[in-house]
Amino acid sequence: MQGDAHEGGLKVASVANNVRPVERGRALGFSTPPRRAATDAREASGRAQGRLPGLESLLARPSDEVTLTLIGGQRLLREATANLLTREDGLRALTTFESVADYLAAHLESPPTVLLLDCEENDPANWQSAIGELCSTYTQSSVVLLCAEIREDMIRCAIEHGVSGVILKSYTTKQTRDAIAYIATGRTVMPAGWQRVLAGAAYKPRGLSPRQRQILALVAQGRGNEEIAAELELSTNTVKFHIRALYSRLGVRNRVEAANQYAQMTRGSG
Amino acid sequence: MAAVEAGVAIIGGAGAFVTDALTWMLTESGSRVLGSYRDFSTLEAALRGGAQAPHVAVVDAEDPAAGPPAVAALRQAYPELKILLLCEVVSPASVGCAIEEHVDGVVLKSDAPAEMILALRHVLEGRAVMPSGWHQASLEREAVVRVLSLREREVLDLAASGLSNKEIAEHLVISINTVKFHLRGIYCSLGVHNRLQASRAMSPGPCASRRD
Repeated sequence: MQGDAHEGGLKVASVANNVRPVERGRALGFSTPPRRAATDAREASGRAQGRLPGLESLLARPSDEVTLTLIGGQRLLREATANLLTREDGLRALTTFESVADYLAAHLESPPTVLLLDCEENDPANWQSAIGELCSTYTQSSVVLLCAEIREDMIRCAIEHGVSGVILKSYTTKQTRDAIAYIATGRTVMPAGWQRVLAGAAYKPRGLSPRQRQILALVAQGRGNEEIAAELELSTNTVKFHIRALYSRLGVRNRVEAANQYAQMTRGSG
Repeated sequence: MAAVEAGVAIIGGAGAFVTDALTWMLTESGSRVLGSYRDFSTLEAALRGGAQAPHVAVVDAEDPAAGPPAVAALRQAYPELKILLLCEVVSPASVGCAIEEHVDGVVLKSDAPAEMILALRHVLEGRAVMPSGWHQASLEREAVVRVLSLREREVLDLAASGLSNKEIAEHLVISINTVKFHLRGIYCSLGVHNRLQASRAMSPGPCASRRD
C-alpha cells in the first residue's frame, strides 16, 4: 500500500527552484535505452544463490520507481488520473502540466520516466509539433499518448517521432498501470490492431509499376491526360488505362485523391 | 497478475530443444501449449484433424519455414488470432512484417523469459507490444517499400529470409527467370549489387540468409 505521501493529494516536485537549461539539439532518439536495471538485479540475485530465478519472481514489479508526468486535458481529470495511477507503489507522479509549452518551460531537473500526454483537447497540428519537440528534447523520457481512439495521424506521428505508446481512455486503471510499467522498460505498448489505421495506402502502398509511378507524379503536378500523353509519348488512351490501374491500386476515385496519396507517399522522403 | 490461461501454438523454431524450452516456459506461466508446428501448413493440417484452435501463435521470425510468410498466412486464415513474433533483432523486415500483418507483439530472443510472459499478457488483454528501436526500423522499412513494387517487395522479403531463386519461384508460382528479373529491378532501385546487400537494406547486421 501507498504511504502517507499521497494521502493529501499529489506529491508535487518543486519545479521553480530547479531551473536548468535543457540539453537541446540531441539527435532524435528513437530507441530509448531500455531501463532494465531491475530485471538484471533480480537475475543476478538468482544466480548468486546458484539457481535460475523462478518465472513468478521475475514477473514481480520492478523495485525501481517509475516517475510519471501528465500533460494536457482538463485540470480536474488530469490530477484525478495522476492520483489514481499512483495509489499503489511503483509509480510516482512528479507533477502535472496544463500544456507541453508549460512543461518545456519548467526545465525539470530530472525528467520523468514516462510523459503521459492527453492529446484530445488540442488541435492536431499543435499536438503533433509538441510531440516532436518533446521527443527530441527529452530523449530519456518515454512519451505516451492518452486518447479516446487511435487515428492514423496519431500513429504516423508516433512512428516518426519515436512515441513509446498509445493508451486508450477506456483502459482500466490496472491496464493503464501495466502498460506504463512495460513502457518504462523502453518498449512500446499500443492498442491491438493499431496497424489497421495505417492499412490505407500510407504505409503499405500497393506496389506501383515504374510507369504508374511516373504517371502518378505527373497527375500530382496537376497535368491533364493529353499533357501526360505528350510528355511520355503515349496515346491518351494508354494514359487513361494507366490512371485507372493506378486508382485501383491506390484505392482512390479521382485525381485529387491520387495526388493526396502521392503527397503522403513522398512526404518525408526528401 | 492473474495467470494467463491461453492456448498457444508454436510455429517454427531452431530445433526440438528450443521448442521444449519455450513450451516449458509458457506452461510454467500458466498457458497451455497446444502444439508446436514446423510451418503454417502443418498447423492447418493439425486443425483440420481436430486439434484445438490456439488463442495465440508464437512464430519464429528467422526460421525460413515459418517467418513472415507463415505470419501472412496465419493472419489471412485467422484474422482474430493473436500473433507473437519472436525475433533475433529489430530489423526493418521484422517490423515491416509486424505492421503489415497486424502482429500483436514482437519479442526479442535476447529478452529475459519474463518479458515474453509480460508481452503475452498484454497481447491477451488486447494491447500490442513492440520492442525498443522499432520506430527507426519502421522508417527504414518504409523507405525501402517506397521504391519497390509490390512484387519486388515480396521477392526481396523471401530472398532476405534465405530462400534461393528456385524456392522463391515455387513460393510465388512464377518462373525462375521472372525471379531473376525482379531481383535485378530490386538491385537497381536500391542501388546494390547482390542479394546480400539487398537483404541488408531490410535487416541490418548479419544477414538472415542461411543458404549461401
